[in-house]
Amino acid sequence: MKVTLSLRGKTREVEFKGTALKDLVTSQGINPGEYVFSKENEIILLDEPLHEGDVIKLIPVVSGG
Amino acid sequence: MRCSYCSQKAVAFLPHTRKAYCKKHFIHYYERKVKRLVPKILDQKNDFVGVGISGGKDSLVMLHLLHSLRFNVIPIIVDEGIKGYRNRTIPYAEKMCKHLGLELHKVSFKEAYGKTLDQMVKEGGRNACSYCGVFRRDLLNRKARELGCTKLAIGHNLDDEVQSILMNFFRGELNRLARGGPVTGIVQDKRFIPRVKPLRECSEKENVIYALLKGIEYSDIECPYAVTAYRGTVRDAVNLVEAKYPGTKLSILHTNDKLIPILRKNIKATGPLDYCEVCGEPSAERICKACQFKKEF
Repeated sequence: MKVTLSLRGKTREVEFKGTALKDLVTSQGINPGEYVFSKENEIILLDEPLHEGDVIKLIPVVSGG
Repeated sequence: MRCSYCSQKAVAFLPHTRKAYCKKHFIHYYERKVKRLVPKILDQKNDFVGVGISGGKDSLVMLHLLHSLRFNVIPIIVDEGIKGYRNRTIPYAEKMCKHLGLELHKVSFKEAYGKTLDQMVKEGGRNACSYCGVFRRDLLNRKARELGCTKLAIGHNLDDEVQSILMNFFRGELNRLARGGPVTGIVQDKRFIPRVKPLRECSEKENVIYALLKGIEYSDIECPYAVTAYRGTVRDAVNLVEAKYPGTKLSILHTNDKLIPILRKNIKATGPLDYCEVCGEPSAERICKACQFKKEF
């Protein structure tokens, strides 16, 4: 499945095997503890089913004070 | 995943509570946690609270909450002079203050000490976090006192607190450990405004989720000086243990809070808070850290 990842305004298209956010996260080596994920301005959890063309925003948990 | 309290879609799963939360129940969980702590550290009727903000998630969530709890709040922002960073976070602080109808008080390293943090690092030779920590504390205390504040609220979160506790513990810094806790300082002094940390039981992730759910806009730019190597190592280690044994961070915090009265009792016997011989500010040493550092550049 192809989806778009968005982080701090930068986007990139990625392809992964699976159907849920956790599959995407695992395939890309993303540490789920370091981000909150959102789709269409709604926070989503790891069991969220994804669809072709979805845009997933990664919101960093750690940011400098 | 569905909310553990209703059938709504969950927006958060917190391993340490083993529960999933929808928007409504997460906000309830989060605010209840803060509301339980705040009356122990702030007096709504008598405290005049300086709020140190940066434009980041923690401090803006803290300002939003204290304002909504009807505290008398005075936002203060420190411009350290970090090129390409602070100038991009300040607008978020300004926007929030405008929205809440509050005047934002600005202070800067350049005006107070004659140099930006960038210049200090270049000329002084210490790492940025050493200068920043000392001068931010000094400047926030001075400004809060000048504005007549009785307390100074800072946006330290659970992760910050636990990292600091362990770093002090690892280094054997018992004085620092004793000065920490929900209200800082071992002794009371009119020149020292006690610092309080309303979000110290809320993790960074919880703060991000709360900010998103409440529509609080914040800067997520990372400080170019970021975290020191040592703090980063401690952070990674704690996160590893927390992931395997959820609740570890809160446990460290609460254990530390139980130790603080014992530490303070012993450390108090070493003498009262003194004043810096150079600037007259409260200091644990003959010459305060800020004045010691100022000689370096």
